[in-house]
Parts: sequence; C-alpha cells; structure tokens
Amino acid sequence: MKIEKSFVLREIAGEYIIVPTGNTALDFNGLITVNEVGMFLWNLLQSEVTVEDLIRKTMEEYEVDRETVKGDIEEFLEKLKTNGILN
Amino acid sequence: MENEKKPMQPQLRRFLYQKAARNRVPVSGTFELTPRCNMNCRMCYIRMSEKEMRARGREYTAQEWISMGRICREQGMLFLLLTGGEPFLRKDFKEIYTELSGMGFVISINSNGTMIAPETVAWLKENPPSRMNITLYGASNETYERLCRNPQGFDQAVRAIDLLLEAGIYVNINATFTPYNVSDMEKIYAFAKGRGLTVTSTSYMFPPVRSAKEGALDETARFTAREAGAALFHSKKCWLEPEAFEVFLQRMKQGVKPEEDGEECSRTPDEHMGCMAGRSSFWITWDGRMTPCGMMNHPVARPFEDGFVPSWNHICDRTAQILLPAECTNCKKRFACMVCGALTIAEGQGDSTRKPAYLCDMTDAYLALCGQNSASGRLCGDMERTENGKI
Repeated sequence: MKIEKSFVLREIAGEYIIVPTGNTALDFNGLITVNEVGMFLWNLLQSEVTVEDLIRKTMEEYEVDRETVKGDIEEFLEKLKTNGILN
Repeated sequence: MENEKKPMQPQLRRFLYQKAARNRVPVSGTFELTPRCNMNCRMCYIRMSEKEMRARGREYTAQEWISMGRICREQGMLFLLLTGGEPFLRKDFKEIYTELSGMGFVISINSNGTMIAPETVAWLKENPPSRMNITLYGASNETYERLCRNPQGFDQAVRAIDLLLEAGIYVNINATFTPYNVSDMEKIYAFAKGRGLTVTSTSYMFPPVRSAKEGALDETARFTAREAGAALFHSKKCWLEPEAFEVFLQRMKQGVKPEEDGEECSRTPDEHMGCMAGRSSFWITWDGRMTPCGMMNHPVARPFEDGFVPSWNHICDRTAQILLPAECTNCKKRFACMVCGALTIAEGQGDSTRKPAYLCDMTDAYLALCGQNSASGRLCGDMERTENGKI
C-alpha cells in the first residue's frame, strides 16, 4: 500500500500538518495532523510498503515493543483508509 | 447538486490560530490583489477605478505576490485568502493562484463570481481552492442593478456557482446585507440551502476608513444601528432550521454565544484586538501595506520594501498595544457583540478605547429580538425593506 494522492507536509507552530494539493482537495478537503511517529509513518507510506514493513521500521526507529507499535499503526492506517487517503 | 466536501475541522483551525498567536506565527494571511472591480457596489470600501488606483499607487506584480507567498510559507502561513476588488479581473490571476496553490496553503478565494466562466473553472479544478467564497448581493438582477450597478449580476453569479459545484469545488456564500438588498435576505438563504451551501453574512458596515473617496461613502448603504441588529437577527432566523433556531434563542437568553454561527471573523474575549488579527493573522493590501486586518489603516508596515519578518513583528508589537473600551471588556452583552479593535478604531475615529455607540445599539436591538421571538414565527416574513430603509 502507499499514499497515491498529492499532499504537502508542513510544520506549523510546532504541529505537523498534512495539506492536500492539486486535485486531491476535490476528494479530501481538510487537514491531517500527526505527531512525530505519524510523520515517520507518513513518509514511509510515500513508497509501496506492507504493514509488516511499517511495524519493523517503527520498532527500529523508536525502540518500542511490537504489540504497542502494531496497535498504533493499525489505528493510523484505518484513519487514512476511512478518509480515502490510502488505497 | 450537493456541496458535501466542506472544509473540515473548525476546531483544528481555531487551535492552530491560538497556538500560532502564542508563538507569533503568521498562520493566516490575506493577499488583496487588486482594488479594481468590474462591479461598483454602493457600500464597497475598497473598490477603485483604474484612474483612482493609479493616483494612489500600483498593483504588485504576479512575481512579487508569488515571492511573498514563498516568504509567508517559510514563516508558517497555512491559511491564505485571495481577495480584491475582484481577483479574477487580474489577467495574471491564474498564474498567481496556480503558483501559490502548489505551496501547501489552504486557500480561499473571494469573488463576486461574475467573471468565472467554464474555462476558469477548468483550470481551478486542476488545483481547487479549499473554498470559493462567492458574494451574493441579491436574489435578482434588479437588486444587483440597484446595489452593484450590474443588471446581469445575479445570473452571472448563479452560473458561476453552478459551474463550481459541478466541478466539485466547495462554495460558500458571502452576503453583506444593506438597505438595498435586505428584502432579498430570505431568498438568498433559500438559494444557498437549495444548493447545500454555507452562508457567511454580515449586516454591520464599517465606517469607510479605506474608501477611495476619502471617507465618503453612500450613506444610504448603511443601516441604522437598530436596523443592523434586526437584520442580524433575521439572518439567524433565515439560516437555522426551526429546532436549531429555538436552541439558538435559548442560548442567547442564557448569555451563551452559539457555536459556528456564520460570522465573518472569530472573536476572542480579550481586552486587546478581540480577534486573531495582528496576533496570528495579517492582511496585505493591493498597494503593499501590511495591516492586522483589511478594515484597518494602522498599524501599518511595508513587507515588500522592508521585509516580511520586520513588518510582521511591527504589526504584532503595535497590535498588542491596542485596547478595547473598558466598557466593552466588562460588558455582559459581549457574547452577542461583534466588537473588535478594528471596529472600535473605525467607529471611534482612530481611538480604540472609545465606546462604539453604534455597535451597542445594534447589539441591544439584536438581543431584544432574540428575547422576544420564538421559532414558531414566520421564516423571515416579518422583515421587509420599506422606502426609508426601515426593516
């Protein structure tokens, strides 16, 4: 899976904000806020990855246990799917 | 034709404005690209003819605005409003818009809609704005002729709205009510509801502090204070469904400001500006002056000439010194009042601490109607404009 649509990641007043650009705004006319881990995942999702890739790379980057990471990642991916951002 | 893709997260927007204000980040900006307009509305505070414009200065070029956009992006601007005059009157508006839209802004455009043709919508659709604010000045060509001196204006605006909606672009209706168009209020709201559009309206008209005619404006275009309060009340009644209107009345009687009530600006309950202008938002006029908001002439800075950062710092410093009248900061009716620093300065002829009597009377009239009415009454049916402009 990967994010196909066009977005720009901005840091605004200390918040990470993902802004739709181009005709993406016709389907998603809003903003996404993410924390640092969310931003890490967002960047990984710019290329084709699996859930397992995301879990492994996040565990490596943040040195956290698999169960914690897995739940958070699935929740994050679900939100992206709900908003039609992830194919 | 539903307009379902409305911009989301008003709470996130408010949060960002407030956080930005704490950190002096200019999160929201307005580029007023031109004072020129193809219409000539009686109440307009900006509109200039080509000759009037040249006597006062020059429009900044496309490249200058695009460069300013890049600088604003570096400084943290996220929300951008493009306005005029009529922005689509600029031959280079497509160039300006297209470049800015690729920078990661949430862009809104203010337009009267009369110059938006199918080919305009075709290029807008490639990089759609978050929101197109189309001002609807009336519900007929006759009203447009009376107020805007454009006898085809209504048909042109409706055509633009329908083209934008067909393209999937989010449209919000801006409405400024004056004695010339108040009798169309019900129809304007019905039009918006029929197409699933939101409405941002005002019945308050600023004194003409920015008028091209050196402060002179058509006096008949401004309501009396009590008429303005009545028009504000009736706009709520036209917009809200009966059940929601009943809740609105209850909240007003309890002294609680209802959420998201379609006002032009978000107010804050402080004793300074009373909004985010000069704290996390700014305005740059067509002739390159930065002010806290478009209704102010001072404080002022020159970002194109002196740099954005020094200009923004100057605006923040000077805005922080603005004080509202003491009567306003302690007023029990403030929840229902649209008082802000721009307004008290304009009403007080430059003195922000002078009690704005017009606004007090307007708010009194508004609250009196809220206290007297119920949702069971006719929808806007008890308001008509008479010959002398009374409603």
